[in-house]
Amino acid sequence: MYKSLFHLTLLITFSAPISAQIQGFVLQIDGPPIEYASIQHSNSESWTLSSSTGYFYLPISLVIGDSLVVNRIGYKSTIHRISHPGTLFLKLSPEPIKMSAITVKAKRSNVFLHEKDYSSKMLKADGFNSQTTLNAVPGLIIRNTGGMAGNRSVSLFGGSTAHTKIIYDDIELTNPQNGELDISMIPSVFFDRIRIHHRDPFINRSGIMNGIVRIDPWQEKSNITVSRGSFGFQALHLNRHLGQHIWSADFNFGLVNDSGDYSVRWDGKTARRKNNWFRQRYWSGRTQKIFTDRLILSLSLMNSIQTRGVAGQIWSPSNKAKRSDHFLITGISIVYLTRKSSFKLIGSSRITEESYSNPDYAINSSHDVKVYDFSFHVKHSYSQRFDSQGLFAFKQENLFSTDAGNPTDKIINFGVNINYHVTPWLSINPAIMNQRTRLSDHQSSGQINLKFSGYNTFELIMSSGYGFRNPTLNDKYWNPGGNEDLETEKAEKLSLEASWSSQFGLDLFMTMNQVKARNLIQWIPGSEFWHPVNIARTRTNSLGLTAHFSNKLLPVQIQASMAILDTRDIQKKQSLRYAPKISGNIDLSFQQQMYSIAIQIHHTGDQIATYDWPDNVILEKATITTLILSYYPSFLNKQLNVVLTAENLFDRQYQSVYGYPEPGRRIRITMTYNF
Amino acid sequence: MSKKFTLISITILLLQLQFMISGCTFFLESDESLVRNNQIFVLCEGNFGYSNASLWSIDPNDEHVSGPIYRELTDNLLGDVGQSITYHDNKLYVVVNNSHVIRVFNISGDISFDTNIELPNASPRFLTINENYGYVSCWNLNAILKFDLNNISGTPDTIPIPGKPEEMLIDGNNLYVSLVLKQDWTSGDQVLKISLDDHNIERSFPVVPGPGSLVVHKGNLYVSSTYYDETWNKYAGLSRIHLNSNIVDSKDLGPTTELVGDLIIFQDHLYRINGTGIAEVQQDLSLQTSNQFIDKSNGYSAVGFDDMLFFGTTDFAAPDTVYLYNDRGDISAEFQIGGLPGSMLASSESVD
Repeated sequence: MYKSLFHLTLLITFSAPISAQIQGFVLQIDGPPIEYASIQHSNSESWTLSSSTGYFYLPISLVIGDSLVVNRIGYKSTIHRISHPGTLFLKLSPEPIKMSAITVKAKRSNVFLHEKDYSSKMLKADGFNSQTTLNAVPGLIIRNTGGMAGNRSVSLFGGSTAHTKIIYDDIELTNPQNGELDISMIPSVFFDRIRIHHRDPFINRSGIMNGIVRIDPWQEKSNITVSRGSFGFQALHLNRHLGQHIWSADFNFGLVNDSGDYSVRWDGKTARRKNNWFRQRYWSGRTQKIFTDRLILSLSLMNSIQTRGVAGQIWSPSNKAKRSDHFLITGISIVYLTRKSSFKLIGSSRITEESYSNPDYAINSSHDVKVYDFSFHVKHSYSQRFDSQGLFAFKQENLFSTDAGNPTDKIINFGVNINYHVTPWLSINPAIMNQRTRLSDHQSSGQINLKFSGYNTFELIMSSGYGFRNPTLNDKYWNPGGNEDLETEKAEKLSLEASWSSQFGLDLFMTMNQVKARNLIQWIPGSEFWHPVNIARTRTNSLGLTAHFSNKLLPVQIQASMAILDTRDIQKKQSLRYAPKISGNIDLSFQQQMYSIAIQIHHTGDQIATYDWPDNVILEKATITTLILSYYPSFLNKQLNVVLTAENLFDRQYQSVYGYPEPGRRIRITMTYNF
Repeated sequence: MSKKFTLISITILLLQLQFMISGCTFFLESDESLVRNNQIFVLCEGNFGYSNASLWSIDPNDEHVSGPIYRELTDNLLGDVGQSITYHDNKLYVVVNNSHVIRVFNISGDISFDTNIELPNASPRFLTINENYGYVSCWNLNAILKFDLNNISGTPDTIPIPGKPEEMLIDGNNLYVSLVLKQDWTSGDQVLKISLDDHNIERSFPVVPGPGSLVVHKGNLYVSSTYYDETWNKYAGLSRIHLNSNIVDSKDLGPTTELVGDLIIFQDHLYRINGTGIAEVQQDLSLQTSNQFIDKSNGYSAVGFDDMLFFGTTDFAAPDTVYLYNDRGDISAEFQIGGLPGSMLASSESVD
């Protein structure tokens, strides 16, 4: 009986058609990654472009045997037939001939993983919890002030939230007023896929000491999604995807409502979190067109409006405080390609209007921030071994604040990045960036990378660099406390990254970092009010590990990650606050043709919330489990996705910012109809 | 804190903190009745928003510090902003401002936690007691709550106040209240005289803006003031109300960068704490800063009795230090306690 069942299971398993989202790298044979190569899916005409690291991602389901057409001026076009799910390595020959189809066999070598990709697709998540995707990143800590209405920020490897940049479609989202970003202003559906950069000299203008979280908002499917869940959660999301082989566009519209009140245990008593409601309206559009084989145009817009109650700390709840914010980002990029060069012009704006009111304390503040950013990138390949990249950028930051006045900063950046491939298995990549600003001292950052591509699929990058972060506009001008004489934060970073892929579907990724920072700006209490000072010196050692396993013969995917942190505040001789010594995550999914089951277990170790004496205030460790059940029936000849999500499955009481307990078990059912 | 709070949080934090600190920085309570043999109690405010207030006791004879008391007794934190401490009938009443609670301790034997008086969103500041009734000044209510201490779970009476009531002082059958802020959170400039019989406001005395600490000395009610302009520059002043004639003398000390806070009486002299130590108040209400009684930076609170003076200092992060001075102004002991020792409670009868 059991034997028969086993055979039946095997039969079902092996006979199931396998589809996959396709990602990979476009590379020059025995050479560097190729940027702006177009990768087109022959059947659906969906397409994408490779990034500066050669990376590409096609967020559509493909079937084994489908073909991808790869084009780039200056290279011989190829057709690649998909033989397995997972990462592809597509190689192009630098021969400027007309397209002629050949079939290449996917084989990985000589690629350097500048970036690590994390996607909610693996868990088949419904898209209404950005945390599901972010949890998979080793060393990434989410700090949330409770529920959907909470103020949410992220940091990497024990650093300050101000030391991690968030990039959306080449647009930097960091708020220059406080150096941070409340990611609750970005609709969670856009966190479908994120990439983590531990190094990027050309984004490294100010503030990046720990890494970059890059959000890729493409959806590439027309669908409508409705969702309903615990605590009065309701959501509607509409995505319309249009596209042909040289043009594609996405338009999104969505609504999210969450009543947000929930019960928690605190100080031995049950308390009700009130005034925690959240409403979000958003729309976005993105289009990309290849005009000729030389000219590519991209446009991107994202607009979100949030209103929410501000529940306050558990011991000091607020029933009247309210916050509203409007977030608008726009971007345009024009790329011109030649056989050996690329020219890219990017223009973007980031506008936020935030207001906060609390009648209990007669607070009525507003903060409008306008950032305009223009940059020009030139990349030229001198030979198969040697290429360089130059950058010139201008940015203007305007603040209109009831509390920090109306300062304006103008920032100019210029830099050079060189890639020299000494041998097919070794390359050297020095880069330097200089920044001149109106409000701060001139600064520079730099780094040098040594890249090894070893036996088979083993890769190693050693990097050493230095960076800086200018004081924010709040640091300088907040009334009271702002200090125009603050010095720039400085940091030195050493890192080692290694990756390895096996033939049977196991990918391993490791990153080790040491960051030494000085002049760190901290807001400290004073006799009258809090004020920022350059006092802190810190040292952070971190180790991040990620393992991913998927195999076409098995309907199971596993991804596990963990981070180990050793942090030190040199002055206090203590570990840094909100830097758990250990954190980890396990994603496990089982997928069949009509359904999938996924589970995420996320653990965060003990953290210091507040330095105190004789004992620090500790944020206790928490292990949170999320269960996702998905069912994919056919409806009117189209696929319907029904997803049941249980976040915090075991109803744990936990908090990521001290004094802001999170809700307990949250159940949500979501239906997506693809058309 | 590292700048963990984002924009809005900083807004809340800073704006609220102005008002918290402007009213509580230098509170001192010197209770003339027995507290405990050989003990004083020190209430540390902790950092606003961090819930790390703490309560300590100090035995000056064997130079021993005990605490943090509430955390040792309950394994929980005392709360956010330990505002003031009051003794009555073998009980300690600890007002925790931003946790909106008064924690009651029984100190008749070994100290034990008794109960909480929950005051949701009231922003309680100070407690004063008269004939078993407790009067609690509450900012967010623009009122004083009157409790029957024999029935603290009962509904309190509410005495409406035209502003944010701060410190209180009972003299005879009158309750004097400093209005540190107006209802719109701008600086107040009144001290009210309220009848304890009918709770009517009998008189209002104009004083230097930002009145806080109240002390009766030689038939006069002294009122210390601290206020701020639009760009948060600090000013200080002192007022004197002649309780018999109701005449008010005021002296605006002008802008200051030093901590200028509470008033204390030590060996029949009136002093005011400032950032560089303790200075005697002159007849013209100025401070004798050139030859201070105590020269010590980072002063935050003090309490004195007999020939001993306890002087709390802070660098606004735990641990902080309380120094014990003798009547010659020499340090005889020092004690490490939590952050921001804002209130002390002692008695001349408790330390021989």
